[in-house]
Amino acid sequence: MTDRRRQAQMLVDAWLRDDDTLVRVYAFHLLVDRDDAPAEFLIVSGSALPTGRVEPFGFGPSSVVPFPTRIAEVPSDEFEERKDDPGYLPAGWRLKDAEVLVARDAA
Amino acid sequence: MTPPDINARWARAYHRQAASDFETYKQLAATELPRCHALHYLQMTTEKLAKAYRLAGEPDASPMTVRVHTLGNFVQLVFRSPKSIDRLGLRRFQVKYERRSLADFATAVSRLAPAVAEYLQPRNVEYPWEANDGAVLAPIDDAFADFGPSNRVMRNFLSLLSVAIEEFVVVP
Repeated sequence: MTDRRRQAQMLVDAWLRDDDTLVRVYAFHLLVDRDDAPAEFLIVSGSALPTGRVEPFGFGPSSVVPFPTRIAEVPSDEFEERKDDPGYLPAGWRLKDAEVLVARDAA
Repeated sequence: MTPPDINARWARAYHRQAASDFETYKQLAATELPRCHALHYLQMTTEKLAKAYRLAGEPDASPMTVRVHTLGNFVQLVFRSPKSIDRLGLRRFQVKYERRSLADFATAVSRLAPAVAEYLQPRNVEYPWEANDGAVLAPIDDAFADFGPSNRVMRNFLSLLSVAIEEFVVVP
């Protein structure tokens, strides 16, 4: 497992600890050549608020995750309904190219 | 200049203005002036800070309008950020309910703006509105006690905004 993959998993493990309703985490651009390149995460969770579109927010690195991230969160029902709609995901976020870090049923 | 470079400039500018709005909020909140004036700055702080983080999160997006739940999602994601692991540590187990209550509170703050309140509830911090009983109220007539210092969620929300202002960076 690469460092970035392991560091990303630590972040995801933290999310799982405080959200029983989290069902999917997709990672985009996680494995890249540059260590300081941002990685992007899409969280699908029953606790997310509906916005009608995937809206990522940007965050700086930390001691555990030493690369910048862009993170978005969407509700499970909205995601299932709209995931194939044009414009629902930001440019460059393609589910078919994403790495699935979490795939589970809701608690 | 590429769209990401332009958005980085916008993100930094939104962040600077949000930080200044927050300082103004704190100064107004410490006075005897009607609470609506301080809350106006709190609402603007939250909206501009969320926009700064959004521009950092989607570098080719145009400066956007904020939907009613955008601020709530922003607050939830501050709890998801990489630095939250450093910040929360073992407290992570306790934040499940705090995260959602603060997100709901952020949504309530966004509804203090008349442009949003118009569709959901008339009560706002800038312009008069007609109450259910037909009375016309000005913001200075409302104590906005639900946004007062005795509200624990309000205190936690202010702490979270301080952290988010301090931790902001433009993602390359």
